[in-house]
Amino acid sequence: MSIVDRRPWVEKYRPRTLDDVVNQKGIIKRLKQFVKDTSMPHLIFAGPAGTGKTTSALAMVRDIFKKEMLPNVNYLELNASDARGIDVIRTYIKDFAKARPPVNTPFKILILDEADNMTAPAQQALRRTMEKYTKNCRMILICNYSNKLIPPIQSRCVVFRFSSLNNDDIKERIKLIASNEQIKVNPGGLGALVDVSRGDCRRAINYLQSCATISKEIDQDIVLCIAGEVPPDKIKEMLTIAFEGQLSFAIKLLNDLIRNYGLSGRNIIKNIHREVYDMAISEDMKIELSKILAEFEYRLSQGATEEIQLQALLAKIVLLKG
Amino acid sequence: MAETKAKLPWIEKYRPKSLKDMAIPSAKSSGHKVNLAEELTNFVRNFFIEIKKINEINKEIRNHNRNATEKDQKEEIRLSFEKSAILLEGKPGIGKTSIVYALANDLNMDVIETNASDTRTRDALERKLNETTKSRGIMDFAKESRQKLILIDEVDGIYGTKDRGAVPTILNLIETTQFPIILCSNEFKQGLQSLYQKIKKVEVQPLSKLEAIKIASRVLKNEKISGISSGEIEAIVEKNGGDLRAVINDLQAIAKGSDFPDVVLLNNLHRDSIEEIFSLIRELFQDVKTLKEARNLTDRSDVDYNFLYKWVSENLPSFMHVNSDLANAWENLSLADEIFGRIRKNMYWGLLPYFYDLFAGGVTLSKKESDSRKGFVRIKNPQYFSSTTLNSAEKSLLEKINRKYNIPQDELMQDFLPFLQVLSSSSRKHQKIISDWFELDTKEKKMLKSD
Repeated sequence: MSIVDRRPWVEKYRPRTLDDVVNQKGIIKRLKQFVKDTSMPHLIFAGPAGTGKTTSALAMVRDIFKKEMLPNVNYLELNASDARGIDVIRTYIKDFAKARPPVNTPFKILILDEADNMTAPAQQALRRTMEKYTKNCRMILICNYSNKLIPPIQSRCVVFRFSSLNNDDIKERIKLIASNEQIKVNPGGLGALVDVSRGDCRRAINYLQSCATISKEIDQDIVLCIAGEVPPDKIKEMLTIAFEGQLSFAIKLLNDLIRNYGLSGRNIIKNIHREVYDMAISEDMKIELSKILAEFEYRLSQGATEEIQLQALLAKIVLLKG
Repeated sequence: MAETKAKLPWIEKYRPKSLKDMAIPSAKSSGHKVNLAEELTNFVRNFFIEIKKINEINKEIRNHNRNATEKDQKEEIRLSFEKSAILLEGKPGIGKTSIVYALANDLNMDVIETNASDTRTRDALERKLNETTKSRGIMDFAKESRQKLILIDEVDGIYGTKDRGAVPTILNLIETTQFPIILCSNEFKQGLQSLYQKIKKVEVQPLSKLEAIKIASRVLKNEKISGISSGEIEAIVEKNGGDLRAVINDLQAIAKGSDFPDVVLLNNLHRDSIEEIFSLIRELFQDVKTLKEARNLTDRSDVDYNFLYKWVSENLPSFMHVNSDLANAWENLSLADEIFGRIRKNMYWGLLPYFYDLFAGGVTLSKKESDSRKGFVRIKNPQYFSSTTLNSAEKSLLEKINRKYNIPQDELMQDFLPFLQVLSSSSRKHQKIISDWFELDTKEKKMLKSD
């Protein structure tokens, strides 16, 4: 390829066919069988972000149409940014489903991404269209929360639940992309990428690409810096000091954190919150702490001064223990 | 070219063509068990007999009217609502639409269908249906034209603003129809009460487990798939609770891909069910000991925050009985609520984790005193959150006001209703104007009298 592929890496390295999809093995096996039989029911892909739902749907379309993907002709992908109100469902989508597929095409495929954002009336309007024109058009509905799809829709589909990727799958993906892009990621950096992505492959790849703009050699510090995170032990240290009642020392540690990691106030609060669950304090106090953090993060979101708010926050934490 | 020919999904392939092929779900009408197939067949047959009589009588009346003086004019008669239309109500996937098509096929009739995928404003409905239903010409009964059955599917999918005027149009249609009308609906919907009151309702029950297993086995046999054990079939049936369509969909997913079904996948194929959220709520209130456990539970669940939050608040009083606990729990719930308000107002989703902390952990961990009450706690469904306090007259009053003004219910109750009450108790004249405008009945009129 003579032109440099400038697409974001998540697009550039999105698996093209079902064979390329690494995780969700059980589900992928079934999808391949649907392709082989050229017979599929309507499907719902449900699960957290970055677990391969859209990727699998598009890969399946590609496998069925053997690279002849013609938007609006044999497949249609609509997401939340497209109008999908009840009127669109009753006109545009119904017309798409109604029209016979082109010659040599078994059936058309309609992908409704983020289907859980569709209103209940719009979903109602969809249900009979799904059924009446099954012969012409199969649908794949993608959502984070399947409970937001009305029961009649769920009844018409097979629901596949995608689970978060395990760390090894994400590591493999990162390694593959890094070697393709000629980037070095050391073990610390790899571990940090897995940590900050929390099972979301897309997030991991996005962080990787962001890190790569800074350096071709990626270690833990770069990743944490990009992700706006602090090594957990630094935060713990600051909190322990605060709980011991040494406010001015805690504030000094706070200022060091801000200086060394270039973090925003909101990021600091988020990092503190992440530690709350495992701290050696009573459950009641954890909840109190969560309330305090919520209040201060809110104040910051409203444009309050970071310095004042963070110091006040620490002062409150000091009081909490006493 | 034959190879590109797509196979229909099983659910379409095995849709019954005739009542004889079909497992007829059991059904109830005004408390009595009825045979659904017989009920529908008789309904259609009787309709045509009755409508023929009525047409003949009306023809005479018209003849009479042509020659009579104005004083002697007679009104044409109409078939009663119960004889013109019948409503099938029941959960998704138990065969409501299928039975209508099977019936029409058996009786050699055409189905004219309108469903939620059609716009159902007055104009649109009339265009689609009235031409076929109103034509009174004898031509329609000529032997060569097949008789018609009107199916108004997904009645509960009729929506206020987009489908304005649908209900009166349907009522009007039922009054004047020349063809029998069957309506289908999943659930009772407040806005359609005026419709429900007038027509005969048949509640369609889900198929029995045994019946569903029989059908599932037949489908598998037909597809020559032998790897699925009877225990697994039973598990699939059980999971879907009488939704036969879901059962067949799941079977197709399970049966493909390998010679034997994948048990892990089987467990992953579940649709959302009420039982799942029940056990989640129970676990949250009864088993969770730390904030971390509470959060793990909410993270693992497949339901979204808003939904879960409503369930927690609805069930809080069922699980806690000590005042100091309740005070803490409500305080935390109220803070969670405030945080959610801030999220929505500023669209700042960064606060979402705290919202979770407070309504999941903060509420459930407030339970300090060990409870003397033991035993099974019934979980309440938050669907009736706001409407439990309303009786049917209040509901229908709000419904009627809403039809004219289309404002949200809580706004109606808080701002609009008091205003109407003051106005209508100010003078008889005002009261009449108001009740005429909203077309209120006596009960509803009473509601507007402030004491």
